[in-house]
Amino acid sequence: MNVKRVLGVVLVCALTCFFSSPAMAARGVTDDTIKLGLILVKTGPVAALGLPDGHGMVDYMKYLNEQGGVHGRKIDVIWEDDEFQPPKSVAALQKLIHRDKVLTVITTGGSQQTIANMKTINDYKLSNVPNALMKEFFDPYHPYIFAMGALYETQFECIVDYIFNDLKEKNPRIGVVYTKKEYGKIGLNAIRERAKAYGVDLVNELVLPTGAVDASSQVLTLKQNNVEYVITCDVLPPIISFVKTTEKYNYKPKAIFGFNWATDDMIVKACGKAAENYIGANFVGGWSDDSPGVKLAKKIAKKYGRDEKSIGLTSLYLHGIGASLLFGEAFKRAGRDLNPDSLKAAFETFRDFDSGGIFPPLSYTDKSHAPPEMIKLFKADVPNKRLKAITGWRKPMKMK
Amino acid sequence: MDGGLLFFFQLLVSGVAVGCLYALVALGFVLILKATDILNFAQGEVIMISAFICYFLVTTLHLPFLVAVLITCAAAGLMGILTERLVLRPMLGEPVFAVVMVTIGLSIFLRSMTGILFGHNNLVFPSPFPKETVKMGGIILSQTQIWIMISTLALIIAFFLFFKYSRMGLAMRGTADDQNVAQLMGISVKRVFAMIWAVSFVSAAVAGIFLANVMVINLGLSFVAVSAFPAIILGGLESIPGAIIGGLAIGIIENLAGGYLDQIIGGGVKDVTPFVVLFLILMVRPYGLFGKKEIERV
Repeated sequence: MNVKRVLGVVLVCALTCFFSSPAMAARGVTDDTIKLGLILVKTGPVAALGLPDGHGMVDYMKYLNEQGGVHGRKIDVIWEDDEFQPPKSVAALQKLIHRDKVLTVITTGGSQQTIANMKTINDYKLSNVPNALMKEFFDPYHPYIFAMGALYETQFECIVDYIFNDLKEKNPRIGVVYTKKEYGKIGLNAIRERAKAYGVDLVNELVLPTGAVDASSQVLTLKQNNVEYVITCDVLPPIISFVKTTEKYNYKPKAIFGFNWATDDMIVKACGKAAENYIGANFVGGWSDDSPGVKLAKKIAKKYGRDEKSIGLTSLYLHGIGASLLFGEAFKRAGRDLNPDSLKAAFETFRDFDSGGIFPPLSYTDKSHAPPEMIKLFKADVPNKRLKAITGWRKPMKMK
Repeated sequence: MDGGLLFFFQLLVSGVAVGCLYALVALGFVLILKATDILNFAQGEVIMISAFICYFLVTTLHLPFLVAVLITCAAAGLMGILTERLVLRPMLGEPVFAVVMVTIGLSIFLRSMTGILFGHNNLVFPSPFPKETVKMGGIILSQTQIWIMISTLALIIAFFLFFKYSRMGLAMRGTADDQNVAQLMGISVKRVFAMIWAVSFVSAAVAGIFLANVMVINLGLSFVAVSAFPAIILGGLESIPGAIIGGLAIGIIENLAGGYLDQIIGGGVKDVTPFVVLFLILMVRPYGLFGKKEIERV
């Protein structure tokens, strides 16, 4: 056997392994391009949530490129569809890393997808912003996960605080309409605990499945029990059916509340007058906000030919713009020497980062990647078919 | 009327309205199942695509609602004939399992096509029915609910007359009873199958149009078909009256459970109760309320 030849092959293999190791600095970054992955649902029943979000992310990067890019580099976003299925998200991430050789991904999708990809995220140092609002993503600290949106618990605590403090209710009759999905159960527990802290028990806890054909029994039960405040924990489609049903049975609670997945102008457009007492919580601004961030988002949408109808859920488009804005800023802060480590370090320099009102001031450190625990409340403005902000960014009250 | 009694009747009536929708969905399944022994897993997608077609006709082409309904039903009927001719007929003689798998493939194809053609956004149907509700003895009914009940009743009567008195209806019944004998009697079984698929798809289209009026239109609308499964099994897999009564029963049971049990037990008893009732009935009548008891002599 030719020993020299064998040694040569071994050397080539060793060099190949070395240069393709997960932590290789230059992966996805060339002199003029940054390759950035994105895994978000594009097709299937959940696509209505993923598409506006993804379009926001892609549009902002396009806009950034047209402004000259970042440090002379253009950002090339590669969007993979996971159909909201963790196995597909896992496969998509492998493709993005090994075939497309991206620097990182903006997000790997929702909670389940992020959990499924956790090891790869750590191995390949993929700084990302999960499309999920779970405490487990930042407590304990995960080095490459940067949470952006307030937890479900925070949102519902703020809603209950609003009833007791802003509306000055002493002993309100509160009912909850929730889905049996994870966020619904988290929401129910948060509301139950918060109301208890104010000395009030919930009058009703009713399940409204996401695909419910009818909400009559829920509405009639709440009406029969004289529930004054209904807090809903479900996505937009069933909440639209629910709000319309309240009108049918002439049930007029003082307010119907919803959380971020059901806080969009669409609820007012779809329900009209029935939504007049609707109040939604969200960790991103409203499409009708008069803030520089929202104005920029509208300008970008217009530039790329998107009107409100084609965007779909504008709150999610705004979220997408916000997530990309974070990455754009992190690329700037990382400087010309961009690699997974410098990107992470750049994210960790954010101190009260101002997005112009798209999301609340945000800070990350090398010890905490927690999101700003703040939301805004929006009330239906029926004549203008909008949700209008009725509060500034606010945190849950400190309970004694 | 006493408050408690009013609550009961209100739940009952709204249960009947929902039950009518389930009945229409179940009817579509049963028609095909009875005649061809195929459980069409693409039925939910037909419901969804019909809702999208009607929405498109009303909002984009600005057609009057009634015209849009007629065109949607015609399109659904044509889709049924094409499905039978292009997808199912080549499968004649193949094992039932293979045919069922083909319908699953068809459901995926239809869902993808709907996404491509109509997009993935949530859409809200501009309801043609006035918002004013109708009060009868204190019981509130929306005009949509009233039209759902009237249309279901009209469709049931039309189907009854069609199956009882028309030549095609008789041919369908004959084919459902025994395909070989029907063929010997000169009935074109292939033509009958095509018609059955068409009628079944029209039934699904009517359900889809009404569902679009009470729910948000998106690709998830197809999952309503799953809610109709207990109705089909409860009524007896191959019984048309069974599908209707099963649908109504499930609608009523769901609503009463939601109104009474959900308050006491909690945790979404409304959705589970139909399956519990179904389980209990199947223990006593394994072939459903109106299904035929099959005795196999060996």
